Amino acid sequence: MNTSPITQWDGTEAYFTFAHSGFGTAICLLASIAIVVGAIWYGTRHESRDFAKFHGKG
Amino acid sequence: MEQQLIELGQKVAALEASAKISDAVNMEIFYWWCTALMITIHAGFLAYEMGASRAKNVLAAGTKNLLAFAFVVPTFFFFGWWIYNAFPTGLTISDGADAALPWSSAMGPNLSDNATGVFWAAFALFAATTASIMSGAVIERIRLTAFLMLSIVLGSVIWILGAAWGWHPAGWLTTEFGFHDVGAAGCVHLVAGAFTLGVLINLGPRIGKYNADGTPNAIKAHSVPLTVVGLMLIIVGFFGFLGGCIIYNAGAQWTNIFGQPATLSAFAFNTVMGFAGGIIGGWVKTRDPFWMMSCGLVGIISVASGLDLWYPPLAFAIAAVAGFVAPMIATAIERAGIDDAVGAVAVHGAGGAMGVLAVGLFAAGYPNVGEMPPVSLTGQLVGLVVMGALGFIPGYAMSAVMKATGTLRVPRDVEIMGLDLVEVPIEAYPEGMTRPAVPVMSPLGTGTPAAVPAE
Repeated sequence: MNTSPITQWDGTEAYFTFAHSGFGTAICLLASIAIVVGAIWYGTRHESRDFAKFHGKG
Repeated sequence: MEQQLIELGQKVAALEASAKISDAVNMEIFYWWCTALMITIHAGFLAYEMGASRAKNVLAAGTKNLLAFAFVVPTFFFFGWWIYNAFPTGLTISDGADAALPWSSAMGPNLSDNATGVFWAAFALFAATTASIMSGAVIERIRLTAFLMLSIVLGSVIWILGAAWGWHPAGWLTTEFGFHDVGAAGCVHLVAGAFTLGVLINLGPRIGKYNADGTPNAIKAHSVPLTVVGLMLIIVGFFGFLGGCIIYNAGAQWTNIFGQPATLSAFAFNTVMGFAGGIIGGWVKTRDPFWMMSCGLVGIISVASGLDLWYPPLAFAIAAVAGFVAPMIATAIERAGIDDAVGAVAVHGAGGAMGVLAVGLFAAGYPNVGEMPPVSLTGQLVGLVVMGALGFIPGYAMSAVMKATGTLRVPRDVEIMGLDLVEVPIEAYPEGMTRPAVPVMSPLGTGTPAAVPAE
């Protein structure tokens, strides 16, 4: 995948991947937000299951 | 002759361009290493918090601490940095804040911007430090995910809003009241301590902490040496933290974050003297190595607001008094029924308050820049109240909602058995731990060792 916003270094300013593509930037940003939110959701579920499993043993 | 002048002009222009990029790179290097040093704060909090836990909760405490860092950093990228740039004048969005939005061209590799990345990283580490301050206080009974949500709010919203108001060259506390807090005693320590207090009120004490008559028991740290080493690592990291509080100006004198002239030497004098004074104050009061090191931290925090101003012996004296007083505040908090497992409210909350107040009491009259008012006791008191409220109200409110929905605290039987057994897939000490020949010291509590009451 060609994500480079530049073809030469002269006069370059922002050059991070997808710097030329609002869509690409948005997808990456939304994906990273989803990872954070999803990890907290997953952690909450996992924690509740651990507690339930522990109660079951007890 | 004319040709020689042209060549000379070209050489001067080349030298100027070279000096400009050297200045930019030197600035990057300075903040890069400040940020690297700040990582040791987290190594310290990790050791300190795991040491302060009982053996049955060591890894859960460590997991919680690591995840606080991991979740605060991305959320600080998503919205924390923007909050700092958007709200210095209050709750209206300032011009230029767009450059701090996460999709801005400044928020990533950019050859025309050597500053944003290193400043963002340093502030992200300040944010993670702020969240870690709460982490130790709530060990052994808070739900991990509740803690993470509280950490994100504290680290990526609340403290940085306080920083925009009182730790920013255009912050309204400075422009309107002359608030002076160069080392972030207010927006980091006081805000974090107050937020933590609000959470602790709703979280409640660990099982066995209090007797039926309300008298406290000592819940012993499983490894005091680990906590003491952790505290020393935090102190090391604070040299990066405080270094990150001064502004590197290419080709000119350093300034503090408010734009007033300052020197790194001033910071050096007073950080070291504050550390020493705090240790002595803690030693005189407690003779407890945990508290001696905690009070060393209190000492630095208590002189942080005026780090650029103090005559070093005055910084030493302020820190010694603060170090003497902090354990008394921790005891008072404990007797009030609030179980702060590591004394974070006393060390950071009260330490930060003392730091902000000390400038008003002993450094009033220092001029500000431009038309902004000078340092005053009134300005410091306003800052103290604002930072305290900014921390306490959301901490209390958010944890109250979590408590009401049953998502704040782990179940009682899980707490009794230990979080490691239930939540962590590995063991901290698989070959077991032997009971020490002499009783281990407790970081807090003067009562008898805690017993777990029967169901």
